[in-house]
Amino acid sequence: MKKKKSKKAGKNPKAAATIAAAPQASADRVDFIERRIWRFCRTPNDQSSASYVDPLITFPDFKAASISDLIFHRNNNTGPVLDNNVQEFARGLHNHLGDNNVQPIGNPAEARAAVEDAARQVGSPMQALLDVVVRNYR
Amino acid sequence: MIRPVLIRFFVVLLFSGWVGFAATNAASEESATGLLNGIMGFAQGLEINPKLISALNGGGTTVGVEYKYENGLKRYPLHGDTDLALSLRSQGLVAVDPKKVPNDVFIHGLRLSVIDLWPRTPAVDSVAACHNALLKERINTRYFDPWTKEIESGHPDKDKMNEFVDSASRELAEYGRLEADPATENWYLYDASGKRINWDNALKRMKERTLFLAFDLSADLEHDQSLTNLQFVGTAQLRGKLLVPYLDLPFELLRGGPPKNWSNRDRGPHFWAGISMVNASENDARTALTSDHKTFPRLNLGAQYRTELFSISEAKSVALELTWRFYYEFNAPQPIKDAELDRTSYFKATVLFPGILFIEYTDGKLPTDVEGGSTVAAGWRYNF
Repeated sequence: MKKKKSKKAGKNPKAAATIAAAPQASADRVDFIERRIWRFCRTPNDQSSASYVDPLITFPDFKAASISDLIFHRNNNTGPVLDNNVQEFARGLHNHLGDNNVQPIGNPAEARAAVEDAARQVGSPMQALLDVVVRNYR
Repeated sequence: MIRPVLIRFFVVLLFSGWVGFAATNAASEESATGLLNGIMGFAQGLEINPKLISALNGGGTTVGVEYKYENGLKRYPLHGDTDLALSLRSQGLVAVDPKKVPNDVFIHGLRLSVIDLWPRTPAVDSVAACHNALLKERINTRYFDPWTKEIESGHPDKDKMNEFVDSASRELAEYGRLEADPATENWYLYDASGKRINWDNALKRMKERTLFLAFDLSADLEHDQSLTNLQFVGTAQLRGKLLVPYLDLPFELLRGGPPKNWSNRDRGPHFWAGISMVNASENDARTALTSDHKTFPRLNLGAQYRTELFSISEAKSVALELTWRFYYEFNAPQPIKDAELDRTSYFKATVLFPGILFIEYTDGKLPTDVEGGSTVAAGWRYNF
């Protein structure tokens, strides 16, 4: 059986470890999942009308954006504030994906941890976060 | 005696984390790439912000670099969305002339967290949740995503878009009247009372909650830049965030509406409260005052809130960020009380202007500071 290439693993080695066992998602499914992430970041649908990114950002612009464009990095959050925001973000996204029939491939805690790790990588491309989600959810 | 041991401990800790990542990748056939990924992955939790800092007591001005670093090591599921997590972290402000920064503290440590103590609960039973998820998936796949792709194409076919909305309307009829808004690339549902919500908000499987809560157990090394005032601190802390924007209501009255800039709608406030056991035997400033009470319990409290002061438009808005921290040493010896080191508080107010410029005022002292003081800092925020 042909082994998967690890060069697409991104910069997070833990995410890379997760890929090895993950089945390859179809291009349509990847697009579906990525659009749900975009949708969630624009309109998390919580009680505050808050957004994690510019609520008017288009999908192509979102894919080309940076992790630094997430609200908690734009606001330079540190310490417990950043922890609260990143952890709440990962849970909100996890639930939003579940709402759309997108489930974690393996351990849900590890899927959330991978999202949290990706969301902490200030300066990384947003695509890195999308890739982590695609690798950990189906 | 403890100081070299502690420093060695944290060096070993940092190195072991790196080795852990390297080892994870060493098994792969692309071990060199894996090793590089390990190093890069480990370094990637680092964020750096340059600052210009000026002491208000006439002490002068200096430049500095504020950094923060966080990396998750292990994760275990507990129940629902609640996880148990082990992580490594470090943060501080490295100043060219640290004497001109009266309130600096570096923190490095390991932390065990219980994340999301009060998780969302299901809004509907599992059968309904499954039905809703499948319905949403279908609506998104067949209608909503193709509709947004038409907009993205730059030359949308209006008839086709209307067709997508009409078809989705029929499937969502029981949830309300559907309306599409190409300007915001969104669909909205109007219920019987006329209330407008995002269309997919009507089919959520989990209830919203008022608070996000987490609990941390941490072992930290605190010190100032001179490394002469070190403390080893073990802490149990509860932290959280208000998810409903109650506190913004007075500001909303002042502004005459919700914040125009989306980055000022972060909910909150954030809060934290904890009890620590502190070993201050290597804190020279403290031992110069007293040799009693080298290990003592300490209370710490903190809060942070951000809102919008005023705005003309989204791009032309001014935000205010407030941070407060308080530390209290239980049963402190008299020399510590006399030096007013038994209770320390630190306040920071930052006014953020359009762009990345800010002006920051700080007042008070942190536990490793010998003297308190006020500073004004102006700078810009930049993330690597």
